[in-house]
Amino acid sequence: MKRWTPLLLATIVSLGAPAAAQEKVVHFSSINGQTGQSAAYGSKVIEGVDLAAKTINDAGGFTDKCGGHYKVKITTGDMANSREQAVSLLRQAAADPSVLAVVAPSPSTGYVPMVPVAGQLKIPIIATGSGAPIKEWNPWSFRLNTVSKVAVPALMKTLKSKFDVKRVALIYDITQDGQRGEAELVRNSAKDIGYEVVAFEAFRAGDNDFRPQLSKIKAAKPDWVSIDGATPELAKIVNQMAELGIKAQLITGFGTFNDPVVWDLTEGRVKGGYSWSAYFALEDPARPEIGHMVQAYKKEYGHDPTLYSFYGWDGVNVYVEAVKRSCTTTDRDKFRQALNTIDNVPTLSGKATFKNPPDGENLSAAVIVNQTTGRGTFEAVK
Amino acid sequence: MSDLFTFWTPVLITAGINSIIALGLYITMSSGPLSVAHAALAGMGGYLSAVLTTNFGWPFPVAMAAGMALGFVTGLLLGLLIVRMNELVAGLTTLGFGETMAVIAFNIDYIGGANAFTGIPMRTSLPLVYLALAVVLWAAWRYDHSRLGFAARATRDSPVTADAMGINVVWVKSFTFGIGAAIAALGGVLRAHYILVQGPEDMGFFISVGFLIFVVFGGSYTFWGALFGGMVLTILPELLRFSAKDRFIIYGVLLTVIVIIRPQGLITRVPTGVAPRWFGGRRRASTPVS
Repeated sequence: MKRWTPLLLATIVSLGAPAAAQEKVVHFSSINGQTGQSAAYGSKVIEGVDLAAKTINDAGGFTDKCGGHYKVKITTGDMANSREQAVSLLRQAAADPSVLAVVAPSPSTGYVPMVPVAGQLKIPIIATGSGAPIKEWNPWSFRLNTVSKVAVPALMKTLKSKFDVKRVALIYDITQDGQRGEAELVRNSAKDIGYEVVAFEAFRAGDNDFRPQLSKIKAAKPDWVSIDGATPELAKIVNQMAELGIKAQLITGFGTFNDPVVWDLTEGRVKGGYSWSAYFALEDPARPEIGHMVQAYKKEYGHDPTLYSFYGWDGVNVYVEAVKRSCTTTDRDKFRQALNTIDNVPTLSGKATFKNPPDGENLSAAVIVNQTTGRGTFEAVK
Repeated sequence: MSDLFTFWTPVLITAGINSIIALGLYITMSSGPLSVAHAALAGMGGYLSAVLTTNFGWPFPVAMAAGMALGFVTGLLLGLLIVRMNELVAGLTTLGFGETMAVIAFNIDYIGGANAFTGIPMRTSLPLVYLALAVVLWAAWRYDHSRLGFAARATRDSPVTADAMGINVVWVKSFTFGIGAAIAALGGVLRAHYILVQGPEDMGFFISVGFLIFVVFGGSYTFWGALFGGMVLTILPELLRFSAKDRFIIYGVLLTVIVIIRPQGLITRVPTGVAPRWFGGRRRASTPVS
């Protein structure tokens, strides 16, 4: 019997070995702004990414359709709101064969230059908040968040059908690609939707006096004014509009009027203004998964998640879904093709659908048209 | 080893490009002008090369030469404009020029406006950057020891005395501005063909100040200072990545401490004819007065 004992033990060990060997590690790089101007958004995405990976790993990992079992590994890189650093980090990730894909930045400063590089290096990237228009897409770049291209026509169509919008004046920040792109979309949608753009005025981030532009806008007699700018400038514009006696309905993007800071800076003058936003709620009785994530997030970081935390979480989960379908941790092309099979997959921020080419936009990203009703409160316009 | 190479290649490319632009600024500043326009000059070179290669299919070396030529001509004209201004007004003029170029770039749809110019072909590589850096270093070394270099330093130290000594101050200042601008444009070309996006933000004041810090930190009296500042201040934040959230705080503290300890910059010029003591040289004996 003694002679057989080692053989028996070896047999038991070898029977157990395949199960252990099947546990693979899928490695994603997470590049975002942890420091610098975009840290307010980027750090939230990073938290969402890390929490998603931790939640998956704590639950024992996940299994793909081929029976392979995986844990998730995340390597985080700080792009510090710099194009150079974003591209350098992407190149570093692409040169590491263990990295399957990259959860790309929320600031467009990082995502826009990453797109051509991702195409060149053939590594999948997915944006988590970048709103800037992409001139040339490639099959390796995707974007999870709701973008102006989808949201602005939806907003204007809703307002046209509900309020018969006729004369629209625009004032926008020319230095911010996202804001300028948004203003151009409002202008370019005019003919199709059936309203007239009566003024198209630009300003620069950091400006304080908008009276010259607003005087022109006043003379054009608009019934709606669309403001595309960041909080400090937007608040000053709203206040100076009141000072000049411009009585028009207000429009903006990205749900900016719902920001309590905007409400405070404008002393509530944004009440009744309309904007589009992505779906975000800390509680939704119809969707218990949101409550679970929010609780876990608070426990982990001691504060509430933001929409950007949702994007980070969703980015990892969409990638995990693509791994489940592609059964790979290293074949980036197979993984990219699997991303294109993502069709109406539920995410915290709505749903995800990708069909790239022609572009990497999320075709089922949620767009909510809303009216600001109070400080940080709004109601959806249907 | 492969991981190390993977990590350091992009960092070294960026450090090399930053050093080239810093060397351009060093040459401009060697004759006196304080320039905060070098980011704009680099950006102009980057834009031109990007447009020529992307939209017109020009070969990269020709587009690079065109970018440098644009930088040289613009720098020469800017140098001529500020030559008779005092230091403060000249500095403000370069600031105005840089910001104006950025605003113009924001408003030209052909070059992408605020959305930046994209689709630029990848042409920059590690060997190319360091070949260009070596050429620029050689040029800076030759410049430092040339008649123009001596004339530039004399002009910087005292334009009135230099003029009295027969140096054409206007020509020296504007020509050195032009050379420095051409080198900055070369850096801009290499950057555009590496990042593959050229945007107006790359031309702004804060980017220029970054290059100025490289030169002042390293030492503005020798080209080694610009090289050292460009390399160290690009690589240092990467070395501090172990502390992701605090790395720029550590970086800022280190920078402040070094500037307090060495206000003249880390590397200073040894006066001509005096060998550094650490190489065993001795100070030249002063000429006895008869």
